[in-house]
Amino acid sequence: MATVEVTFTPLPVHVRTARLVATAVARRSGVSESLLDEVRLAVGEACSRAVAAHLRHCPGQPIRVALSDDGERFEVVVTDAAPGSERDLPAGLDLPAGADLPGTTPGPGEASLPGQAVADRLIPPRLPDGVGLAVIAGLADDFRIAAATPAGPGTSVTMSWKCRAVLG
Amino acid sequence: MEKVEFLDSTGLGVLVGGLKRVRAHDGSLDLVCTQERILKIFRITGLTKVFGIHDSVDQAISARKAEK
Repeated sequence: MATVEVTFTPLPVHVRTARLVATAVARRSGVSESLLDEVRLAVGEACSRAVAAHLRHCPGQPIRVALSDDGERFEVVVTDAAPGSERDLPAGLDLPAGADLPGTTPGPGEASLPGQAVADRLIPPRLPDGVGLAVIAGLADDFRIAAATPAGPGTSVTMSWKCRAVLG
Repeated sequence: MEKVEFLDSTGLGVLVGGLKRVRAHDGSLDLVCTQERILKIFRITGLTKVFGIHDSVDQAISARKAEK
């Protein structure tokens, strides 16, 4: 059983709450203060990715964040229920100078095509999912992405950090 | 970026969007950033190769002038 579990409605506004809870549990688990910013950022990236996927595919279903520590590692698993088409590991994001820049999805203030799905307007302008995953991979000690269930939809992003030995 | 406390890929997306827009008008966008935790995000994502990142506004302006 996870130490703390958070389930939230897939809206960008709740990502901040998930980040704050993750940081608090990480601190409590003995993750070094210098790593807490990284935990906050990586968990936020994983949650933002899940929120975007849910808004596109299943806005009625919640996103689950499980936080646990076994005394040696603090582990976070963010599980979504969306079809897992974007599950590939980021294969490097080397962008040569002058290369085409990654596209962004149109945001609320930008021109959008008539008839565009409402969900698209709820999703803030984002870089492709690979960028968020690359950030997580660069920040976490260990990072895995896998199907949430063997046959069904959903993706689990697992990341972990070393816990500092807590004295006393 | 000296007063930025938090930057994730959404924030990077806004910066990249801004860069695309100014480039479309033959403009340029350079960043001033000295905070290691923010610089780390640019390095991880490879965006250090896309943005000019400088230690001060003066340095950014000089670098841009030198390019012209």
